[in-house]
Amino acid sequence: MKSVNIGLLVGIAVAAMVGVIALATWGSIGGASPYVTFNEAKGLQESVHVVGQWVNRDQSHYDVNQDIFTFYMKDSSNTVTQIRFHDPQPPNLATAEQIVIEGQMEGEVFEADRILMKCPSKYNDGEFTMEEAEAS
Amino acid sequence: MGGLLGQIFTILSFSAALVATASFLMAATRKGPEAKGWASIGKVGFLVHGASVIGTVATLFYLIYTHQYQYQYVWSHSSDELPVHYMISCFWEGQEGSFLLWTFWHVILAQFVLFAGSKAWRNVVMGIISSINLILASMILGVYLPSFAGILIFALAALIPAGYLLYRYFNGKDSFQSNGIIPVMAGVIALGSVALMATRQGGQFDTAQFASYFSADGWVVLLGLLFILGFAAFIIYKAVMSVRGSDRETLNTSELFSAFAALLLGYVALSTDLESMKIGSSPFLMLRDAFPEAPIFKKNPDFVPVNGTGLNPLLQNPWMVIHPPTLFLGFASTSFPFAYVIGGLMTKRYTEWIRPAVPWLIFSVMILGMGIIMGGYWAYETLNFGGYWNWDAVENSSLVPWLAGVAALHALIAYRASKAFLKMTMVMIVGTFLLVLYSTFLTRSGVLGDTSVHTFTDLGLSGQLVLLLMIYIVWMTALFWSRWKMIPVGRRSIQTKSSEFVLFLAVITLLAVSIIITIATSIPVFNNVLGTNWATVRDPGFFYYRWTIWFAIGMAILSGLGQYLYWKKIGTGGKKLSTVLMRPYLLAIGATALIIGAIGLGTNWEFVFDQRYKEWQELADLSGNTAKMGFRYIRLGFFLFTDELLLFASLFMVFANADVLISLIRRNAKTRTVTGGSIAHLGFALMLIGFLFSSGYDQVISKNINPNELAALPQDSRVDNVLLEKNRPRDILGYQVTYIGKKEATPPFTDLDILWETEDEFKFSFRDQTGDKFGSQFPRVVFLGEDGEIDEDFVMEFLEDKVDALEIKHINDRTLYGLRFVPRKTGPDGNPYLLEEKAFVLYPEAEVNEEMGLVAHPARRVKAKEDIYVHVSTIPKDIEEAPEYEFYSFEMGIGDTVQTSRAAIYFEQLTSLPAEGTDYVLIAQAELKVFTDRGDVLRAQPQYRIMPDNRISIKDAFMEEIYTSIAFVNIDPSTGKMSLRVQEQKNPPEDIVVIQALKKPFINVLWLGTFVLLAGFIIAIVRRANEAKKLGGKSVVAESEYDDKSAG
Repeated sequence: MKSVNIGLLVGIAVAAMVGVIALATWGSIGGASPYVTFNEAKGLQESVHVVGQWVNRDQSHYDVNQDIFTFYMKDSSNTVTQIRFHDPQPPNLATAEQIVIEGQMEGEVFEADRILMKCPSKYNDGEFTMEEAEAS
Repeated sequence: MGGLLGQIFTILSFSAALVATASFLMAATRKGPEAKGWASIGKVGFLVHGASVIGTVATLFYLIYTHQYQYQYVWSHSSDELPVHYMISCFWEGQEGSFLLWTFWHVILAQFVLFAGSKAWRNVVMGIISSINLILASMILGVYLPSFAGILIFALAALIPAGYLLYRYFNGKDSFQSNGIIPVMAGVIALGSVALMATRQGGQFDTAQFASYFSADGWVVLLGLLFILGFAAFIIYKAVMSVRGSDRETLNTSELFSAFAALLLGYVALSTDLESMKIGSSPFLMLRDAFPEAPIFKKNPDFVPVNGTGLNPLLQNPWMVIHPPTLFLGFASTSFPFAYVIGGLMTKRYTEWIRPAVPWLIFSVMILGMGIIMGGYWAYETLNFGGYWNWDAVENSSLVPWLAGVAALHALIAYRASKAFLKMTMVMIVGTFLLVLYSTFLTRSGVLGDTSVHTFTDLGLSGQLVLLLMIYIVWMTALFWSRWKMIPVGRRSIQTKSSEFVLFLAVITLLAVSIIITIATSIPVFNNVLGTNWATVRDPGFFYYRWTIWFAIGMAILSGLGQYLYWKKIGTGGKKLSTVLMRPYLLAIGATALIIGAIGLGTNWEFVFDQRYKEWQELADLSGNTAKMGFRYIRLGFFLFTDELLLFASLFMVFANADVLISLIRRNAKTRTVTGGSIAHLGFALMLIGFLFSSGYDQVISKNINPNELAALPQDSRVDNVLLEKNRPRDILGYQVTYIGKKEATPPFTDLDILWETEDEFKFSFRDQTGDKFGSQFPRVVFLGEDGEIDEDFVMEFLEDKVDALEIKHINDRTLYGLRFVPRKTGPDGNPYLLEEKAFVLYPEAEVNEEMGLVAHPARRVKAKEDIYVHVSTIPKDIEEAPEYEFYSFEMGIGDTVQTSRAAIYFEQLTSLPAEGTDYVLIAQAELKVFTDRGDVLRAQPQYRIMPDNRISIKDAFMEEIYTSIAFVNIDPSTGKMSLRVQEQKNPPEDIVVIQALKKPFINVLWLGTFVLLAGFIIAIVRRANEAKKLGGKSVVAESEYDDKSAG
């Protein structure tokens, strides 16, 4: 039976782990999409993230037959763009103070694959509304 | 008042943990009576700490249980409607409560060390556990340092002993004989506690507030103070008694202690958020202090809300009652193997720590694993993500410590088999603990922000969390650095055909997966550190699949191989390895072929990433040059068959482990006790198969397959939802589905429970015949009995009587949508037919929550082959459009009939109502009969009224059944004709629901696997516990005397 030196073995393992770290970092960054604005997204052929707010809410529309939710979003540079999302309106969208969409620009329309919502926190919004306001 | 008591408990638990930490570490590095003295102080300190943690928990639960909404934690996490078991969930919904839970588990687990564990390890292990609890306790202190003075008190608490010890050390008098330091320490702690209490809430140091404690809640404060001072006095007494005697110094104690004190000082000073000067976040914060600017508190400082904002509806699930405690028990238990390793390093017992640490490590891996699985099961059952795992950062950060723990366990087994890899084992156990801390930092600091859907709310503790992590990283690095050379190396070489070699490879594989997941999850951290701007990985499912699949395949193969090598005699029976491996290998090949064949022929299952591979191939074909094309084809080839390979590897793991298991069971009674390992591996193999199919072959079946409608759609449109109108069947993949209406309460009703009542109203819940819980709110006065209390029998009678007229909803506004599924098959003639006898009804839930919008809970049909899993995507309210109207004008005489699109209106009569005593001189009322297109007959009585100044007022009649209103607008005296204006809503809201349905093949193999895995772990723990009992207190048995293989 063959035997190996443990020092060598561990050395190889450590080298391999360093390799994995490097590779995984490269892969994650390569696999990650950047945060951009709509105008920047136009030039990119890849999936990106855009951060912004839902605007022109009354013009939002869900087409049940095509399963497409269309709405408008304003990005950090105040550009408003139409978004198409192939699912119904996400439940928390209405209360989200900020939304992050992932997808890409197709012409003048942003095709969103995913919508992440940042909801106002109970702790930090500083305002305190009390509907059942009643002293006891 | 309850909150003040809780706050005292919190501060006491912090102070006592400080005493316990210092004393136990002192005891650990001393010998003789001095060590004994210190240890007894430590023990008392820890017991006081434990009692105050339990006191804190009890107080907080009491506040939740008694609905004391003047406390912010209670207000924001609970409400009157919650049953007791969900009140327990409220407890850990917030960060503060979950920190408390973690601390609580440490206290409970530490009792085993304190009272059952080996004495040789007690002090050092308890010292380290106390140090962790000290920091955890600081997370819920919730104190605001009012000024520099506050910091100074803390600084003194840390500086005095540190400076003193440093002085002694540098003067070569490292003997710690003095008694003086102890009263100083105790005094400072007591002073600090008073100062902390004085500034407990609301930000600024407020002398008025401080004074007020002595009026209203004065006795509580006095009691608390007496307790703290008494405790300090007791410590002084104990210290004086114990330190008399030997003062032999064994180790550079002062180094250790001053280092710890200095770290603590730094921790306190730096974790103080300079803006708010806040340390920790207390669960006993008053609402008025949390929102000092709220107008209501300016108006009325004593305002108490009548009800809380409630528990997140997604957490109102039985799994959420047990999942967090299990997960935190898992987190807490990783501290113990860690403490043994560190204890071993500190006291230079480099191998002896292993025996007591092994059961802890197995326990910790088991519990953490169960906690994660429960979380997955909860997600599967409750959330509408469509699965049990989402590669969310929060999920990942609990998975990584588990993987590291499993790696550490395997490293430990490799060490025990070979006497090699000791350093690796130690580093990995420490690493597991550090990863738990890192995970805590990720999920609680707010750093994940946009990338995760379910982190905790950011409490502004990020600085404190970073410091917590840094303390241990720095401490561990320094400790390993100083001891590295002294850790025995053991054997210098191992054989390649040995279990230890396979185990080593397994450890490396597990480690690689942990590293990859950690890095990909940490992108937001890189952003913070490097200032980059990267979001999460794209398409996380595919990303993690690509990056981990080969490691999973490797793990499965190694596990099969390792079992034979580990149980040498039983496993191979003296035969050549390749001969014994042939059987599971051939079985796995056969089974793989069978399953793939069956899937290909008998199902329409499809691997989810096949589409991606197609895209990759297209991309490769489009490549500009050969090199690029070659690279892309190699990449494609590298992944194209990974799903089949994983299936093969998992099946190999199943057969190999089953083979070894059968041999172990057959051999004798003794070997039967050591089957834990093979059973656990068998379970994990089943889980891998379950993962592969339920996630890799899951499929949306709610495809709209009406061919006529499909033609109108864009080709690549993902149509994953279908719209169902009530009672109109619709075809989806493999089923016909019909929305049969909302589930309604069916009498008889039972279990009336009044949730709350005010002077005007009361809210109650009850169960209907099917056991579903419903709720409603009624005016109180109507239901009062003679005794002035609500007459419950009358309420029930009323409910059952009026069940059709009342809109009775499920408790918490949930609505259950009935969906009837009928399997649809294609007959031999090519025509589809329905299997009515196999029809089933599912009730997915949806509720509209004020804060969260639509909250949907899935429903599922469990079948052997696959689960059918359905959730509501949209309910009518969400897609309600702006109303559009059709208007009609008619001139009618009595007896005339006119037609609208929805109804025929018959003018029956014109009556004149008495106008005396009204604002009108004339009131004419049209008596109309309306025949709707549904065959109903309705009455409408619009009025035409004339005021004294001849102005006209009209009162229209609205019929909600047909969304139509009729106005009586004019009477022409010359012709006697009446003018009616009819307004018809063209797009009335319909009873519709949009659903998504999926199927999850073989998901039950996954759940089965988890039970088998658990069984394996339990067998292993029982065996280790028996073994430890047999060996009794002989904790210093040389490792070589013991060998796993002795069983064979």
